[in-house]
Amino acid sequence: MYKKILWLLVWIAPLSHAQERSLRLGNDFGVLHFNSLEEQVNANRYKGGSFSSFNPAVYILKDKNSWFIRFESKRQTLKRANDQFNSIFTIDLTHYMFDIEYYRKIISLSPRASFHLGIGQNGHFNFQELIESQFGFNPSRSVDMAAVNLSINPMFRWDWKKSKLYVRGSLSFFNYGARLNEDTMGDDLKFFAASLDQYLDFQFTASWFLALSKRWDIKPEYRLRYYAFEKNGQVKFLKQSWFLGIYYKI
Amino acid sequence: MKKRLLLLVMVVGLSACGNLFFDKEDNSNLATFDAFYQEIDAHFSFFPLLTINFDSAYTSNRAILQSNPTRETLINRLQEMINVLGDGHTNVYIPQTIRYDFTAKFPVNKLESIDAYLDKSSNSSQVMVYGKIKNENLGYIDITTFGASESNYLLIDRILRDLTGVTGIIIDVRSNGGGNSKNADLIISRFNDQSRMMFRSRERVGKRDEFGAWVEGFTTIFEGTRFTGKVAVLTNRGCYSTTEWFIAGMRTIPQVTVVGDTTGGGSGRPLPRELPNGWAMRISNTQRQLPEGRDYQFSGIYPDVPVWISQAQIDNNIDAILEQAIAILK
Repeated sequence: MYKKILWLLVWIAPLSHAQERSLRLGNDFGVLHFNSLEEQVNANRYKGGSFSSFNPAVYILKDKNSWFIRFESKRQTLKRANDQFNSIFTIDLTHYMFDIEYYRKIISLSPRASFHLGIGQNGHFNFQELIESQFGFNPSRSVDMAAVNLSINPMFRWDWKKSKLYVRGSLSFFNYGARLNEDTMGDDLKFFAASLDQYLDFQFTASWFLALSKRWDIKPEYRLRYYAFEKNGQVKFLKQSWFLGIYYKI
Repeated sequence: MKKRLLLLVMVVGLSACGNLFFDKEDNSNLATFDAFYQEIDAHFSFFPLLTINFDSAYTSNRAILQSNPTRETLINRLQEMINVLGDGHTNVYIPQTIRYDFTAKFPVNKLESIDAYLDKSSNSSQVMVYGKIKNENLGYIDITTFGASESNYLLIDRILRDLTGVTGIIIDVRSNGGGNSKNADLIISRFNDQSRMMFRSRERVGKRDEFGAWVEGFTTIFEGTRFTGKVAVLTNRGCYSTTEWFIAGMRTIPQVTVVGDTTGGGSGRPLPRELPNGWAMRISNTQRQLPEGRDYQFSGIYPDVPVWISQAQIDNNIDAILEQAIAILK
């Protein structure tokens, strides 16, 4: 499905107009897909994805300085990744994400390409609840939250007459997060701080801004985020999105 | 064109790489057995109370399975391991349940029918059978399970209205294997005059002997009509899990006497998990102590008045436990 959408987007690129204004307000639509191994709810991998329609964003895209601010929310049912079994369990995932990234141009690599370096704050909140289709099982739940999640972000930018391509990465170096508090049998949250060696978190994003007119852009985007850590159980979380954004330029 | 192709190749290539971030799952019988052991090793909360070496049992059972890694051998080895743990809350669903039978070594201490003692109400349900004890001014309520939906237990208010004027009530929870603790709290609240500490629980958080802080649990109170007279709660070895929660709450109320046999001894909160081959399992991962500081896992909750039904009494349809309760409440 997402591949068809991408094909469509690639072929409407020639319709685009020249890029001019720097502030863009808009919303992304598309498929959001999750893979999760959250040991607090179960030791196996569960996955699932579907259409996501509320992902507002603000971008300030100047030659030397760029800001990317995004919010994402999604509720998703995850099923056992290994689908050869009739599992009695599914996971109800509630996901929120709030990213702020700032970039500064470091060097021009060619008339069209440039390299930028930035910092980011990538906060998220995931609540997972194990749903059982059989009587006799207690509900099991988990919280995985990153309140402060600072990253260093390299970015490559290509400028064409009617479009700009931003390829960004991020690697977190400090995390201040929370899990359910085992001292209260999970009734509240317990916060912890973790550095790069305890908390692996990276992202890759390719965003292509295509100018439809002086006031409107569309933006096909692919994003991958993966993080893994072990705190009161192992967590591995992979999120991929294939979005199309509609942006108004101010 | 080059630009489009570059983007397309990059995005489609990355889209397919999701599986790189997770280990490939091994669903073999041996891997399932190992996963079962690892789940127990990581979460089971009663290692400090175990007298049998679980690790030795794992090694020997694994060797048997390795030499003959069939589904049937796996089931037999899992049954063996669950028997070693001796915990009714730690089981595997295939979907038929591999469980430890905590009642097997003990007499049932309950007759198949007590109709000879009871004027049963026509308003009884499958979950709650009630009526008056024949020739006595005493009520009787048999709660067969705590596992039905909450609406079934709201019948208690109708029951207490129907039993208005009785001097005492017998609550029979013998052979009630448990269910939802909210339902137990609902029934407790109809007899309880004040909130009291009924137990304290803690969760395993690390190694086999590492636990979180103790969290106290209290009985709940109902603001509507409650029964304030004397109550006898009848117990046997078939009382387990939420039924023991219920007994732990009821025994804190001064006018309640627990009569019968010791309960089954299942104090852990079962944690749901899934094995690599798709079978579900549960593992006790909490400990629970009564107010006097004793964990009733394995040992059970002792009655205030211990009574057993002899074989001769069974043959003559005499429920010695019920008769003892009647004598206490008269």
